[in-house]
Amino acid sequence: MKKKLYKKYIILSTLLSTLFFGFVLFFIYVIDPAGVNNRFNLGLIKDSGLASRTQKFVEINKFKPNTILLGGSRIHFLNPNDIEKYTKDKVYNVGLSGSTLEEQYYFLKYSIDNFDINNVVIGLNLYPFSENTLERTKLSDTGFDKEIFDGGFTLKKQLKHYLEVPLFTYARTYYTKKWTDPLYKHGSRTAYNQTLFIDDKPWKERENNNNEGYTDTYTNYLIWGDKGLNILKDMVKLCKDNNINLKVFTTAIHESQLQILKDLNKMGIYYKWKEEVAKITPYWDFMYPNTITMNGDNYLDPSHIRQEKGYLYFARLFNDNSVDIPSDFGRFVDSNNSNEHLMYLKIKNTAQK
Amino acid sequence: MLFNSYEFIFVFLPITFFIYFYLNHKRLTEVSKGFLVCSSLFFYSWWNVAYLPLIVGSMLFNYFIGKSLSRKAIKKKLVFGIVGNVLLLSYFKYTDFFIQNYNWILNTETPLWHLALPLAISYFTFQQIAFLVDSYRGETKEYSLLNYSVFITFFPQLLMGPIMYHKEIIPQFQNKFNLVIKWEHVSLGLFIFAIGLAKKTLLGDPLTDYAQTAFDHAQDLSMIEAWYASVSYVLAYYFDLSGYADMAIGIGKMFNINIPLNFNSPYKSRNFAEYWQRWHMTLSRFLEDYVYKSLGNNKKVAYVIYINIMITFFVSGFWHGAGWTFVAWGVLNGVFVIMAHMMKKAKFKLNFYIAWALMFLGLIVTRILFVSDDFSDAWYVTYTLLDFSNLIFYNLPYVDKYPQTFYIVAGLGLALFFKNSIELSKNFKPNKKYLAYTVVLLTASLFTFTKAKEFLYFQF
Repeated sequence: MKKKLYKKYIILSTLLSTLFFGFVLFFIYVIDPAGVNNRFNLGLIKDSGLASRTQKFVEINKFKPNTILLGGSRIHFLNPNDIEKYTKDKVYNVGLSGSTLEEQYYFLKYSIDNFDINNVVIGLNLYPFSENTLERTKLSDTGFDKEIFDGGFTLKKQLKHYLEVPLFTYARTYYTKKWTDPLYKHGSRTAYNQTLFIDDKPWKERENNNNEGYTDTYTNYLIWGDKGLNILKDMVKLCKDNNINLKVFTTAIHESQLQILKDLNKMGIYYKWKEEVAKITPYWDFMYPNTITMNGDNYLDPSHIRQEKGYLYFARLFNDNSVDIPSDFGRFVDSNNSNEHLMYLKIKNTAQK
Repeated sequence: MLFNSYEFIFVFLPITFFIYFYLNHKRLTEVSKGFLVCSSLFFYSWWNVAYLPLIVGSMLFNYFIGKSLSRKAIKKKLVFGIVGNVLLLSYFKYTDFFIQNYNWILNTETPLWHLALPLAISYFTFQQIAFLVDSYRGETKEYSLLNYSVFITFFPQLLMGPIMYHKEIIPQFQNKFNLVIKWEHVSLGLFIFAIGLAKKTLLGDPLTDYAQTAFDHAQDLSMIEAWYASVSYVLAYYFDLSGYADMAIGIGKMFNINIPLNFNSPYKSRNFAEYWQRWHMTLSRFLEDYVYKSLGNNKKVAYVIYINIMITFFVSGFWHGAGWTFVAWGVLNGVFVIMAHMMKKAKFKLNFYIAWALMFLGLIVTRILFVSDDFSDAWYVTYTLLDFSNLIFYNLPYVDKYPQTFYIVAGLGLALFFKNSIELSKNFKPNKKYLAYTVVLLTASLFTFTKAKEFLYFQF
């Protein structure tokens, strides 16, 4: 009789624990807050930002793009449709908040190895080239996982994802924000998402908040080094070796961000960076004072240009003369005109001072 | 393989358990032991298969030396065996420490070797030294290599103890009554395992996270942060280590093997002498039996006793880590233990609460020394604990106000005012109440495995 009781205790405790655990796991799987499996259509709006790296890896595998757009959060806001009209193929936005060049390299290599890639567009920011970027990304904990590119979204990784995706944060935000439209599409943030990002805050507040963060980033983490440049070289080589049409550009940050660099006496790094990038690949430079970057109305905050203005980048990159682009927005730079371009920038930046 | 992993709980443990007892049921007892050894070595290799030859080689070396000692007790052979073990441990654990000191003394720049420390080497080295000494003393019987291998590799205790003696384990494996599944043992083992798992994953890991983050920025801590970080570490070590020991004891029970108690509510102690009788008890037992007693076991002359205590704690500190902070930690513990002995000898008894508060303060100070990267960090944090000029109530980046306070209060409450797992297990009955406890603890723990942290003593 006692033996039966003990057996019952063992069976029930293991069974119930497993069942409860399994039930909760299945519940999270069905809710799927980050939109990773999208198996059950409950009409819920998913927030990929809760697990952006994982979600993007899974989604890109389903999407199988021909053109990818690489970069950080500034790229994340750009609409793939603005490129699609030039490339006429499937465009996916791989922009990720706080993305490092190493992470972009992994996504690029994975995409080339696994999809039929024709075009690659890379939007460069200055700070990922800092020698100290690793320290910064460690602090911001982006959740970049190299292993996923080799092993895929394994069962163990799926388990980890569903157990770690912040379900309560999702539920709370969903309830308080009362989302009505999708937040992401083809890897990019939607226009609706952009309005949530602004959150009715006036420009001055957005400018101050953002520049405060960048002052800290530039003060503590912007150190010259060639690690980032070497990764960019590898990315360019990858595209060249695979006959991929590569377009590189620098992101058009608001002029107040350039002012931070000036105030911190870090403009030397800014010029050196542009000079070195030109030695690696031709690129379109938008990161300097011009009609677009001097007007706060074009921005969500000083770091992020509005999605509605993204088409200007691509019209320039794809030489679309039918689009009315401010004449001072974007300068093509290669190793031949790099010095001349730097002179131009110095004059522009000095004049701006 | 970690106890707090899905592969261990859902695959390794049930498969090993059922095959082991199935083989015994078929009267294939030697095969079942062989299977247990192979499973344990697989469990060990899960971490890094490269060190499998090391543990196997060490095992064979000690087995043959021990066997020969049990036939004829030759002191030179014993010394050879012990030196062999110590050299192996020193090579992996202390090489860089010696190079650093060599560089410091002779002002040279000899590069460090950066050898990875094989998992569990400190434990299986101690266990095997004990075996050699026991063999020399004639306290071991002629056991087979298979039995010896089971004794060393038995997976619940392989990585982090409790440190067991040959004479207390092997007879249990040879007892034919232990070769059948005993459901009362399995259920009790499961209950103890669930408690240990919860201690580690629900309390130990979060507290470790808080403490580690703070100590990574030790020199930036303010007074409140220093208190939070230090107390978090004191509690994290208890829940981590005793959680592991509970899990080991629980699994041992499932296999009908009694693994000795390792933690007996140490934070309820009133002084350091008592604390060391309740903390990491099998290590204390080993040090007493094989270090302290070998120094003469003098019980009459006070200063000789104190010197022997200091030597024993010096060895303990050095065993814990290759660094002067660990040595200082050992010495400081020795000083506190001697103080407790002196007070006892002088029949001087403090009020319990004062005694406990001093003991706990001592724990905090010694733990700071133990976890700090260097003396500078240790001194800064210790000093900051009492530095009122550094007392600020705002902008405390290394304190997670509400959750960390909750963990500390819960941890202190459980460590000080509740029965420990072994005391709880004495009243165990397979009824609804214990079923509910077990299910809640197991289920809650299962959700933490994706963020599983290694056990703190894995680094030793």
